[in-house]
Amino acid sequence: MTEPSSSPTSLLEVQRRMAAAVMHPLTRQENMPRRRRDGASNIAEAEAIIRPNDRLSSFERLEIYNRQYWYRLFSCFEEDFPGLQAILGRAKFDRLMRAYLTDCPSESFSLRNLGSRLDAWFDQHPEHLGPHPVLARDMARLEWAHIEAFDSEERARLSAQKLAAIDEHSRLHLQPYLRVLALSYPVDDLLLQVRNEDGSATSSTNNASSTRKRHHVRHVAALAPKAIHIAVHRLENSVWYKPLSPEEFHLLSALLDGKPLGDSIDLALSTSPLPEDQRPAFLQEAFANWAMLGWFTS
Amino acid sequence: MKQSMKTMMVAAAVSGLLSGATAMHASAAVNSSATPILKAGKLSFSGSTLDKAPKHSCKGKNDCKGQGGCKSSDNGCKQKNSCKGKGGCATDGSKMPD
Amino acid sequence: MPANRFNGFTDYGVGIGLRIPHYQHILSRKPVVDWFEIISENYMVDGGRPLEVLDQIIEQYKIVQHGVSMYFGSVDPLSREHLKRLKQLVRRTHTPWLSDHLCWGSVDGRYTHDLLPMPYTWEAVEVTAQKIRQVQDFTEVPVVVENVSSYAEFHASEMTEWEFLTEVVERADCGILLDVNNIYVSSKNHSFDPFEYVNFVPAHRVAQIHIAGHSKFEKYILDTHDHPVLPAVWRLYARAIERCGPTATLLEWDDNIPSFEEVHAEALKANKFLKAAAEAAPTRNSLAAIQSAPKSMLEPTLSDSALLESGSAR
Repeated sequence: MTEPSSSPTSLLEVQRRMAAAVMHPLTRQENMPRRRRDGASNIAEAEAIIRPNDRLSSFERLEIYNRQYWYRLFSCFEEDFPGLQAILGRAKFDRLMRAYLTDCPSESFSLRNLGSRLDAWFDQHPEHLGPHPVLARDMARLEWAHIEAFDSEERARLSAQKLAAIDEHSRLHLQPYLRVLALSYPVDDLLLQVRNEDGSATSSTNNASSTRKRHHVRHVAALAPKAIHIAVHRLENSVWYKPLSPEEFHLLSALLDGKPLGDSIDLALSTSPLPEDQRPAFLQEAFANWAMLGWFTS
Repeated sequence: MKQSMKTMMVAAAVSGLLSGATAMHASAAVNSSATPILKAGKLSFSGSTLDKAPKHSCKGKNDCKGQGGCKSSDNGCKQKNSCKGKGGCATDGSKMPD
Repeated sequence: MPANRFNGFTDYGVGIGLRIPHYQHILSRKPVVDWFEIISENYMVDGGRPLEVLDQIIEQYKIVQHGVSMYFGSVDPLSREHLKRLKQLVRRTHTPWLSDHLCWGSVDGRYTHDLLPMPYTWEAVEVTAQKIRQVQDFTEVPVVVENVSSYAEFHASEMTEWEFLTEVVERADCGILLDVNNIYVSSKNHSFDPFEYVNFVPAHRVAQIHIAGHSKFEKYILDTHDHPVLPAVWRLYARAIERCGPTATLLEWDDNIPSFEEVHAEALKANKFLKAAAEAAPTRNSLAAIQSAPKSMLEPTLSDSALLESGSAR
């Protein structure tokens, strides 16, 4: 027996109540739960809102939308974080995905932004990072940086006139697509491997998929910690992972934080073991490379 | 850092900036991207001109055709090429011939 | 009515949805295509490859924007960020009209990313029409609204879907993107006569027509866009063209996407109906005549009846 629910009396109430049902997590069997986490009956709620027909009950009709909502988000999230899935394995990744999407439903008109709160969410939910928490978090950060680098704005490059006016007090602007990361594992190589394997698979059969999974597990198991710094950036509309030295990373981080050029150099080199006589050459080469890649903007 | 040293460092950075910008313009002038690519790092995807699928479409999609269920642990449900519309699995899980 | 104020007085023929698997073919072979429809949200980004490819396509083809998340029917206010980005894209594509769905999908700032059906109430008519007007005013291009496929109906509904659509577009003074596949899918899911729908909508407001494939399940039909257009949908299309005249037509194919040639060939089957409608044009009654005709004239004709599938509700 289910207690009857009263019918909604306004459009807003219809939408709130239907959304609550549609966005409620599915059961493990991927059905709409008969009872929600707060104890409310989905059967009664469906009957209060949705008409049954000669083939489907109110509950079954609402369930179509409940599943549709989750499948769309799962698909999007899986596509955005294949590396994280390779590290966690299917079952743990599934649990993480469901928990994150339940806590952080989309607040954007675009699904592009679905994973934007994942890194911050991990602060509150480290239990979802699996047996290799640092590795998993590194991968999630790299994968989000990739998304940002892929379609963020590319601004006009610094003009000769502005270049000529640069001094130690100048604040240099970097391309919005540029992200710099300090990571504890070489997850860039792992991600390249995962994506190339997935992309190059000619078959979508379970066998091919299982083979890929086994490869991923082997890669993850073999991955030893190694501190790396990388710039995730875009060139000719492809995303690239550029290794950085610690000094380059600190310098770019300071510039991205809006610090003046002189202070940024100070910060970057303050703890550097780089001999003083090699520092000018280091700076010259670093800035030359970054300028060549078009990272400085007006 | 002493001011004289700082001045020297900034001068080195600006000199690099100028030479890099000049090289970039020269490379653009001859329509060659070879120099920047050498410095770009690792290309994130190989052999693909389209490294990101679109997120949106207005279709529904049943991801579990012929699977008889909708378990996401099942590879049959994993074949999703992008985040386009996703339909719910049939309550009865079967598909009629058209 | 090939050209009307709702489609910017254009006379577009048969187009297909621009999809990534076809980019390479389109850019390298430059096939002759009347027009492409893009999903706006996939290009409402700040830079990178999506926009670069789009710019190349724009240089050579006519583009029309089709949105999936404006949610005219949501009580939530419109997102300023969404509108701003949409207008930027409009300026880029020069789309002669802008379409999105007659549905809702967000509430209290949370997005479902689905096209959820409306309860067909007078309150919903007001809310939806007002938001369509707001989008039209902001973007400064004609807005047309598309009927969605649905799998549920509401107790709260006070009218039929086609009555609701008509009330909304009249109050918003906007056009219609008539998706005949969606009409067919919903007609099967809700047991109504799809021809009654097509015969009811204000034909002079139809700016564009969508065709697509769907999947049949034991208890309902799903709008999967992963098949060729089914015969029943072509029959509905024929009736729509008969009423509306040769109207800009677009095939949507979003999953299990075959080669460009196959998709395009499927779309071009519409030409048979468009040609027939063009030839019949001199003898066809004006829209005003159709609108003022007795209701009996708007009922399916004998030929319509013959086209109805057995088992469809009458």
